[in-house]
Amino acid sequence: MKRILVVEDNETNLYLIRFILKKSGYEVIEARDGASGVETAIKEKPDLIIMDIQLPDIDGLETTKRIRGSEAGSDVPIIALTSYAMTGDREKALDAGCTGYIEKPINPETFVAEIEKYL
Amino acid sequence: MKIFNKRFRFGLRTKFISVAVIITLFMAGMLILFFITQQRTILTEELKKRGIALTRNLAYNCEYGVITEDEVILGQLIEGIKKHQDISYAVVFNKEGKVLAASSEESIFQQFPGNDGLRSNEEQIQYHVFEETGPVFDITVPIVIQEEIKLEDEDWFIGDRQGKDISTGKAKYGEKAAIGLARVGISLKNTNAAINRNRNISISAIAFISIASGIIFSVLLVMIVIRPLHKFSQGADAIGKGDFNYHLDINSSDEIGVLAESFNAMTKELKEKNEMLEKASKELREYSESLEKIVKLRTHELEGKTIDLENEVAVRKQTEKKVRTEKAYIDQLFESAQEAIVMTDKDGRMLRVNSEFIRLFDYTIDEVLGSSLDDLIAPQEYHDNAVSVTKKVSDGEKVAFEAVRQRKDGTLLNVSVLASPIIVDGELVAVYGIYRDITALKRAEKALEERSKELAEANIRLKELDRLKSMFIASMSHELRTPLNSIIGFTGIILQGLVGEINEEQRKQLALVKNSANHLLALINDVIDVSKIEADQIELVIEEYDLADLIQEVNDSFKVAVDEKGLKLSLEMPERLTIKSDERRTKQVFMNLVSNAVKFTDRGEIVIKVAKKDERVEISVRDTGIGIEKKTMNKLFKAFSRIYTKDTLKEGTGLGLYISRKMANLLGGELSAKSEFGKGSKFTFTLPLKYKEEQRNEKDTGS
Repeated sequence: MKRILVVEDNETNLYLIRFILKKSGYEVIEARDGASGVETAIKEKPDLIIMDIQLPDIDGLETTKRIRGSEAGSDVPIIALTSYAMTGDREKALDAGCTGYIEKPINPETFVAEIEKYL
Repeated sequence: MKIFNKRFRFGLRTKFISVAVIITLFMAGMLILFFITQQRTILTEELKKRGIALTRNLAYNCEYGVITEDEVILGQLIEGIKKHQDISYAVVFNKEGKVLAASSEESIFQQFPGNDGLRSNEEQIQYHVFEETGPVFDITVPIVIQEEIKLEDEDWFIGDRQGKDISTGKAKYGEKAAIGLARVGISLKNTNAAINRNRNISISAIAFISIASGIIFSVLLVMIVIRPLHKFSQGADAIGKGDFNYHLDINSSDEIGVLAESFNAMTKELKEKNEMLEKASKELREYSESLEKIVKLRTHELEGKTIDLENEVAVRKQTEKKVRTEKAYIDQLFESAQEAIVMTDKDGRMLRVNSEFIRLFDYTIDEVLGSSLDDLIAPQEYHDNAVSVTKKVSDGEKVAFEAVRQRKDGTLLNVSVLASPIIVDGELVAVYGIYRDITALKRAEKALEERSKELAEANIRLKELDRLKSMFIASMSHELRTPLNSIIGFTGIILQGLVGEINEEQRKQLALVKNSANHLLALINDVIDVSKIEADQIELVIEEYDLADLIQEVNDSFKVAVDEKGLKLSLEMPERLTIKSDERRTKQVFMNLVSNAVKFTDRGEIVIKVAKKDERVEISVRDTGIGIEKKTMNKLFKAFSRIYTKDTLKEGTGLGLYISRKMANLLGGELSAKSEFGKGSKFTFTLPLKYKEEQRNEKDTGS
């Protein structure tokens, strides 16, 4: 069973993503801020990471950079959850080391299919 | 020549003879005059003395006859004296003046000489010309008693032989009175006749002598002078005709002979000179001929030169005109320039200024010319600087700077100055200074600086505001959409049946929730796009992708909606169409067009065509919908302009086409529309195959 790390501070979104992924047969690991995201990623070595950009402590971009900076997280697919409003989020995400991005709001009908392109 | 000679010959002879005769005549005349005068004097004196002697003799002899008044004796005495030659008359008076005896009856001789009677006892002699006798000496001698006569002089009888006036040699008769007077007239007739005869003879003789001497002189003259002269004349004629061999044959030892020798020598010399002259003349002729040739040659050359010269003159005139024209240009430029221009010598003394200079610094032309530029217009604190600039320019440097200068009245001016040297053949001849009054500019600059400062401050505040706005949008986006994410997400999950079975009514209602949420999301997204466009914060992601895939995907996504409305959707496009652009923005524009077409078309068809044209791709979406009224056509691409139709109010933000056109422009493309109201519309979206940065209207801030 593939394991997916979801770094997301919003409980509702976390719940939605977790629900969808579990229904699709994935094991979900959670982190609610950047620091724990980096820690969990290095410790658990997930098969994929879904990274929200807006996080309470360090943002998703910095978190991604730190994960990429570690030995364990150098080549794990990281999918950024970007906000439509924020100018340059997608580019910044790719620059920071993300493999791809999914723009919020999440569409349950296409979400899993998009994830699976990177697995 | 000949005439001259003749005239000369005759003239000379005539003159010589005339002079000789005149001199002879004059001298003879003088001699005749002298001799005649001498003769007349001698003869007249002799006559006078003879008369006096006869009269004294008469008076002596009459003593007795008078005393006795014996007229017979006296008459005999008168007769006796009358017999003497030349005696015209003889009269004897007593002392009362009574005629005692007379030779003639004429009363004139019987008058007693002197009115006062016989008062004087002196002898008298007078010259008279009487009608009866002609010229006479009238001699009177007193008659005295003889014993009482005392002779003072022995020869008183004879008189003065020296020819002095006889009357001075007087006989003294003492104190005794005369007893009578003897009067005798002795005629000059014979004497004068003799004198005249002598004179005629003398004149004849002298005339003869004169003529003879004239002839002799003439002959001699011809022999001695005229003939040689004639030879000279002939010689001169011959020489005149060119006969230099003429030899003058005169061998006299006088001046003529010397002259002839000189003449011959001269002829010889002339001959030599003539020969030399002929030789020289020949040479000269030859030289002249060669000279003529040279002259002809030179003339020919000169004609050529003249043409060259004419051409050169023409060129020079043209050049002069050009120079004048250029000078006029420069003068005009100099005078009409809006800058104050001054020309100085290398020491900074002003040579020329234009009228703007006079106007700007308010000096008169007389005050300016010859003055030092720096002394005149550089204020004290700028003077050293001005002098150093003058020095630099004098060293051949061109200097541009800004400075402060002063007017005559001391007011200060900000000026920009361009000082440049005028160098001719490496030598500095003058310096040009061009002054532009930038006082107003400086003031404006200062104001601008202040304004800029204000603006910079305002800009800082604006940037802060902008940052706040961006933060606000980000926050709004996040905060508004987070709940929407949940709504959309969970309705999706339920509708998918992931949670469990739902009935039809629940499905229908949840679908409405989901649609409304999506619409709300679209609204929020549009508002965010507009704010980004207006803040110029649209960020493009340029990459290569297949447009055909994108079109197909969008086309497919509308299939359900099209089917539901019973419309026909057709698509024409190449199989693959790789372009380099922003995929997401291209999709946004295209989706907007198809979405509108579906929204506003109730029956008929929607035709999508994609075609490559040169370096661009053209995407057109045509529908058979309600169309657009002409009056609203111009509002079509404006923000917040919604198309209201009579019966339908379609949902939408009114921002779609506004955003689409802006996006199309940002991608370097265009978006245009054509429509026939009631029949349908056609939207055409073109964009370059390869996006180029400069094709964007505005720059990405990239924040």
